[in-house]
Amino acid sequence: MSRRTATLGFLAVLAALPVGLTGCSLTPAGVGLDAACGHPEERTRPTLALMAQSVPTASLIPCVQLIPAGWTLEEITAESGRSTLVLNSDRDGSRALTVELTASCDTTGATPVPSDQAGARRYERPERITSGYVGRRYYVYPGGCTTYRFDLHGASQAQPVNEASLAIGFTTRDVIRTATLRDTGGRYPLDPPTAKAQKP
Amino acid sequence: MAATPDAIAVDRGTASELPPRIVRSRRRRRPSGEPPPLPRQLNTSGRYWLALALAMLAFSVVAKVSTSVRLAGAVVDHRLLDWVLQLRTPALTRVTHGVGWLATPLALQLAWWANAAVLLGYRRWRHLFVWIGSILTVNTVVRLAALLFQRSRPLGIEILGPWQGFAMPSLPMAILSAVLVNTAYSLVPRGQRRQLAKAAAAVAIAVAGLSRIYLGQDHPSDALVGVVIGVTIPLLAYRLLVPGDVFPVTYRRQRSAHLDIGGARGQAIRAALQEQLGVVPVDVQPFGWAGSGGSTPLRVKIKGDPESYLFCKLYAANHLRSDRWYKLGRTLLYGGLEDEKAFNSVRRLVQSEDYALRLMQAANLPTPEPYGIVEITPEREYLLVTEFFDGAREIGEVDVDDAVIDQGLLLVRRLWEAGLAHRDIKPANLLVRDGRMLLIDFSFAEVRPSPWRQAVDLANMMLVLALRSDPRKVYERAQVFFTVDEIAEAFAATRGLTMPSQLRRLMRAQGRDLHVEFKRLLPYQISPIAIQRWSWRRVLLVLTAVGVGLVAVLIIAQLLTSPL
Repeated sequence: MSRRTATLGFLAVLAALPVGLTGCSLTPAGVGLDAACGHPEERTRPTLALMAQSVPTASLIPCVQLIPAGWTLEEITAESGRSTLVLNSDRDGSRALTVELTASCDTTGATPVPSDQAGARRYERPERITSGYVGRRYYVYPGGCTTYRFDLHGASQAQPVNEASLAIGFTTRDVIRTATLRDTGGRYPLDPPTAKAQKP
Repeated sequence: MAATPDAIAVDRGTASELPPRIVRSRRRRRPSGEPPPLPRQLNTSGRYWLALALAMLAFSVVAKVSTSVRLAGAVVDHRLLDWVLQLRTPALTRVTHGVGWLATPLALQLAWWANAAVLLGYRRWRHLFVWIGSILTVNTVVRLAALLFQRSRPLGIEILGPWQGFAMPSLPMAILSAVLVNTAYSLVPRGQRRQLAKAAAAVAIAVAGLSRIYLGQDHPSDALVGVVIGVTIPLLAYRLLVPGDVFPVTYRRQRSAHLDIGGARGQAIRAALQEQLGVVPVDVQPFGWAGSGGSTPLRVKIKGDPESYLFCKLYAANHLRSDRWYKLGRTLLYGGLEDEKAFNSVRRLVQSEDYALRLMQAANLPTPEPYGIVEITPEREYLLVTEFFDGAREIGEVDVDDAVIDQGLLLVRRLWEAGLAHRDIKPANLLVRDGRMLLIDFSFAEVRPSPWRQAVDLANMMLVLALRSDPRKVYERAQVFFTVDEIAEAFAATRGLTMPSQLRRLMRAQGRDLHVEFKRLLPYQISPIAIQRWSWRRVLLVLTAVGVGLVAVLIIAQLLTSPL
């Protein structure tokens, strides 16, 4: 094989990676992203640490608790100011649940309801309840807000909403701080010394 | 039809001898391992960047696996970070926010649009494709690496600027570096200007990198690895796929087929002629560039008493690609006019023309003496060396009398008898010297052509002869060498595409439709012979071209967004 052929082949493979990978599993599990809530003594999950960094004030960080049958974790993103988790449902469509972590959120028009999460107030705002369910749920806590956007197109409403809710849990910032400090040999904390994150 | 003369008288010395009384130099065989006259260059900088990229990749893999190595790297990173963060002031923060705009999606998108506009405007397609491909590759490699390393943003510090995803490698720094390298190599001509562009790019990258470190967006190593990836991939792509020798960046209005023969290439040509042919070149000059588009024709003065000339055609990879696109285009528009296949290497392209020339010589046709093929860069650049017809003029510039007409018609008759076709009979390829017609340029010559192709040669020759004389005279002389059937077939086969563009242009300039005039002279006419050829291959090619076009449109729509 000539050098030219080898070079062109190598570059073609590199250039084809975007196309090839779309055919492969690019789910978070497929690429090794782990946002499971887990146990504090377990290893740090870099994804959760990055999500915590995205909203430096948030006292609670959403994490993946238990993916129900028929649901898949489609996407995890983290950027300055927000992080998202996106779940698909085989019965209720793609992007059936989007969970977004931000520093604050607008709960105008939402109804306060009893919260199932310690340290957080919960609000609900249904937008459509026929032919599925479209609506938002807010968890507001010190330094942050997690928004659930439901976009369900299946026949039933209550079951998928419950399933989706079970999929996502919360871990505290303190847990992530502890794990980060442990993994860096006690050298580097998660947050700067002047961090304003508050206890939930 | 009169009996065909045995041969066209050709004033030629001993076959395959170089011009007499030239100064000879000892030929020298290049030993194995010695670089050719113009070696392919990754260049020193390309090798250094590649070595650096591989070293960083190796270190990153070790750091991923080994906690202690990873921590050691983090310690170094944080020491540098702490040093930079000591410089934080509100004013400096404002400045670095402004400077950091260089690596934002908007800035990179504007740079991309500006590059694309220039490349499209100057039709530098290869540079454009490498630009796009290298950015896509950098993007993919960095995103994959980020998923592999999963490094958080700098810990324990306040991050003052926006960020996205994992930190290592830094995607904005990688893309910024790639955009600047692409700009330097695709928009800036080689030489001092490109060195200045690269220096400016280095400054911009350094400033953007320092700003991101200052703002806490990246660790120093994140930015460094991003830069190395962003520089190495496009640099290698340009050096290997768009070498400056073959695809120069120039803003002079010139044909892309005409390569720069100065500098290293000029020296390589001289050295190669001396070593491989044993001649001593005195001067190498472009020749006939106005009428050529498929090679770089040169006239080489060689030392002797008196000094004489050689004619050389320089072929390189760009000529090969032009040939491929030309044949693909013709196949799509008209079907395979002949059973012609694109050449798959420059060597084969040159060998084919040399072989055709030697066949013409063997058939005793008035063609230049071939002196062989000279290698400039293996598999990439070659010279086809022939006799130079000093003092000859194009047929369009001389008086065309009966003797010249006879010679032209006899030349076609001899081609037919030898089972050859020239396929590019036009004024630029027919010379006259001392009343003798000479035939040149055999890049399209064909062995055992179809009867249709032979007929086209005859019609084109008659049209060329009629340009400087009279169709009736040419027709009457043609009946000496060809039957009326053959002449009628010739003009039934020829129209439009089958006439070289120079010939069509000259007929238009004279305001004459010689083709119609000849047909009026014929006692009868044959139905036009169809040019369109349909085959399964052509159908498949058309469908593929349409499919590729649609995909290209979709990709272009995506590519109009920011490279980041």
